[in-house]
Amino acid sequence: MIEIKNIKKSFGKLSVLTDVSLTVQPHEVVVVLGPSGSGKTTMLRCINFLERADSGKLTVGDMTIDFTKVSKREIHEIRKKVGFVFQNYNLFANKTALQNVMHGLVVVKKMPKAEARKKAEEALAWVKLEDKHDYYPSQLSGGQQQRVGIARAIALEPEVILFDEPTSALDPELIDETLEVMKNVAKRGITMLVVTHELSFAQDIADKVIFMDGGVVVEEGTPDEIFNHPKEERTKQFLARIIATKTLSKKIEG
Amino acid sequence: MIEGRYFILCLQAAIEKIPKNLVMCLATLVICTILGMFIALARTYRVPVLAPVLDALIALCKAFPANLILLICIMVYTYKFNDFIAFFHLNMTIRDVDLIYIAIFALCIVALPGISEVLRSGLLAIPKGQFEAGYAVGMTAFQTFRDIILPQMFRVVVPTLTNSTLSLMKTTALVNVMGVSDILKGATDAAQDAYCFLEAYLAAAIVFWVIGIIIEQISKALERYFSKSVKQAV
Ligand SMILES: Nc1ncnc2c1ncn2[C@@H]1O[C@H](COP(=O)(O)OP(=O)(O)OP(=O)(O)O)[C@@H](O)[C@H]1O
Ligand SMILES: [Mg+2]
Repeated sequence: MIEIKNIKKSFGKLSVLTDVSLTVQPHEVVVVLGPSGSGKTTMLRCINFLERADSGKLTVGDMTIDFTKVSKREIHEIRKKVGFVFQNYNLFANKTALQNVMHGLVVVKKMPKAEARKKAEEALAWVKLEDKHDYYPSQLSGGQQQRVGIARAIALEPEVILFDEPTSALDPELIDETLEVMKNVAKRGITMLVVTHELSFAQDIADKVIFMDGGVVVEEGTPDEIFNHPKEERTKQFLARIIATKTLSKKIEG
Repeated sequence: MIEGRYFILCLQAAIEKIPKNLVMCLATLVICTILGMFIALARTYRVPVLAPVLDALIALCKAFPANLILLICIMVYTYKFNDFIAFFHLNMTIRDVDLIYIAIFALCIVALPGISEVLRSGLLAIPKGQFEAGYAVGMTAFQTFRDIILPQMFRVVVPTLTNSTLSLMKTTALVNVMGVSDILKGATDAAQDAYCFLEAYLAAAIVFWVIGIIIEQISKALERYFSKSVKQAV
């Protein structure tokens, strides 16, 4: 389970997260939607302490911390409980696909090498990359890199995996293979907090959809509630715009 | 004009001194790489107090000609040796210490600014995402640096570090201003009797040239090793 309460974050004068609270129950998939600049990435980064929130509380599993007085140790503990899949993959450039997945198991989880290798091989098989063990990130396509990124996150068995627009840097034909893998992750019962503009993914997989704008949660509900019966004007406008863009790009592609 | 017999004589004398230059060069390189790494980190992450002090020191060291630094070091050393010994209650005279240590110390001052700058540019060349990926996996800052950043840095800096090593190698020929014998000094010493200095210089030049070629080859091999992760297609 993961819960954030009244999280606030500004960059200088710019208040990016005004007051955001949300909960993801165990095995739940929560999708966060929102226009560019609404603070989605910042929120995920605050959960993993890649960005330091100004105030608020965070619970991951059995651990609760206060952003205003959190120790280095606690930050490290939280990071071990939280997986992160980056928009631009961020695979370790000096390590092969297998090493990328293995490294955290050996160094962070202190797993014996043989066991870690087995586990990493499983994770790679799971994202259908069993034939790419010894490829370096520079030798993989974007979609393949992102799947390694997902394998790296699941192998560590965190309490929750955060996804920051995992498909938005991908060519259209590579998006589906990545979404497919993410759907499998969800089916495995892994708790997921996903920022994405892929409405079909949200529709099919999400237990809850959250719409963010201007640093606050504007509306949240089931996919059906948000997509078919949105209450807030801002949600309606945003959905209309996304759908319009999608249909337009479909038309252009033919 | 060139007398073969004398040339061989000088060449032999020069070759005998190769280990000395290599030891000075290698020791300086290792010390500067380690110290330079800490300096680069302190300056990049703007460690309070330390960073501005290092900035100033580096700027200062960069401004001095190498032979001036060598001369100052040996001067200070000879004048202050006895005070130093007294301070640490050591029982030794100035003759007990091989001057090569002082030469290495001085060479470090000469080479450190350049090498720490090279390392700093290497550090800056690593995308922020590589650090973040390490943290996100649950690695500590130290683990991330050791396993992810450092290997990538070396790949970036090997070519420039080779240049530093080559110029360091050339600087080792200046240590005779401190009274330390080296390839060049060895060759010219051998030329004293027969007064065959041209042969001596030529011999020293050839020795340095061959060493230069070897350094380049080692660098190429290292470059290949470190860049295996960026080669396209298997
Ligand atoms: N490190 C930073 N320093 C200053 N401002 C920042 C920083 N990171 C983000 N911002 C600002 O915070 C705001 C929210 O950014 P964020 O990346 O969280 O938005 P987002 O919802 O993820 O948008 P997108 O859909 O485009 O990814 C933006 O206005 C951005 O300019
Ligand atoms: Mg974003």
